[in-house]
Amino acid sequence: MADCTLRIADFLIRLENRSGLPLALEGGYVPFIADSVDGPDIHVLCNADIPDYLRPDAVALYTANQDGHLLWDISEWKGGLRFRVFMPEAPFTLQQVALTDSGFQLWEVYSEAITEGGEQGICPLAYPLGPLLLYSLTVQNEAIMIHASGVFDGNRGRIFSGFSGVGKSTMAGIWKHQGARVINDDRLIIRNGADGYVIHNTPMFYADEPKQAPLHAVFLPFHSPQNTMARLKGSEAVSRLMAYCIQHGYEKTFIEHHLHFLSDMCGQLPVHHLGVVPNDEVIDFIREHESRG
Amino acid sequence: MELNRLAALKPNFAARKVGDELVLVPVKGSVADMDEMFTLNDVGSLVWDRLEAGVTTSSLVAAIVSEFDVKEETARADLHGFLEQLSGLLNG
Repeated sequence: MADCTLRIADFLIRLENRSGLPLALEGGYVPFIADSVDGPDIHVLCNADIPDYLRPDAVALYTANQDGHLLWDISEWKGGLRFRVFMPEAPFTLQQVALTDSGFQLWEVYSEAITEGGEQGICPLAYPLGPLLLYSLTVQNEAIMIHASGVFDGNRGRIFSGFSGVGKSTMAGIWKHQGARVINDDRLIIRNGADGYVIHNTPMFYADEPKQAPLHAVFLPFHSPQNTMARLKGSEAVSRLMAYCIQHGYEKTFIEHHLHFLSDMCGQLPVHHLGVVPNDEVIDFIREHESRG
Repeated sequence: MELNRLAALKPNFAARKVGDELVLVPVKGSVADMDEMFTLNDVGSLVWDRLEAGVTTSSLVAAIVSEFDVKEETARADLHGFLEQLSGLLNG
């Protein structure tokens, strides 16, 4: 693959291959390849090999660890930022280094070559750089990334947000069993535009087609011996959803962006605490309570 | 209570008014800290808004008395308690 454009959550990401090696995308990204090359939101210049001068440690603005090892870090770099990404399965081994301007419009990504099927290539959006790039798009726009499942029943779009184990995937499965379309069962981008709030899926480790749906209601599920539903007031809803957003708290403007987005959203959409007994009856329970206003 | 010291710590928080309340989020490096948020009621919001270099306890008490129609003794006691909490929060 040479150059290509991805359309993810209606953001256009232009990948320009300067490596001389084929561009390899993780399988989850392939369905998001778009025909359009007009007006991309960001450009990603894709290079092979990581130069030595980009490798050294520096004072990190932010670090993310996985299983006790450094997964990626961010440091200042000549007026912009440098992202160092280490291989999730091979700690201390650099996978990519990405340089970007402070507005995240232009990315220069250096990737170590990979071999797949006997052929060399580069995978510039290999996890976790792909989601990091998407995150940078959300903080520059009226959008957030959030840990949530999202479903659309043909009439209303609903999300179920929370940390692992609260029942996000379970709720998506129940709605799917009742014929609703699952936008994603783990991670969503929410955008606010002329059509109101819209939820989008993003590339995962598995292939799925791009999906979107209007958003009408937000639920914070928890396991309960009976179905319960209680609407949250604004400040509590904002506080809870802040915790479930995907965010990197090193930059105050990013936090302010999330606070602004969520306070507006919670002022327009109902946010409910939802005690859940995980079977199909919870769907009728939700619809009945919604119809009462 | 060192008001100037508290005022100097304000930039370490992002703040957003939601209804009558103010949501405070610490600016820290870890995503886990996003779970450490604080909500101030209307009195707390007023104090937060006026907390800046040079502010005095007397001026804050006067503002509370004026805004919320409470006695000065009550305002002073409430302010003292609130500033103790805020100090713990900002220094946390």
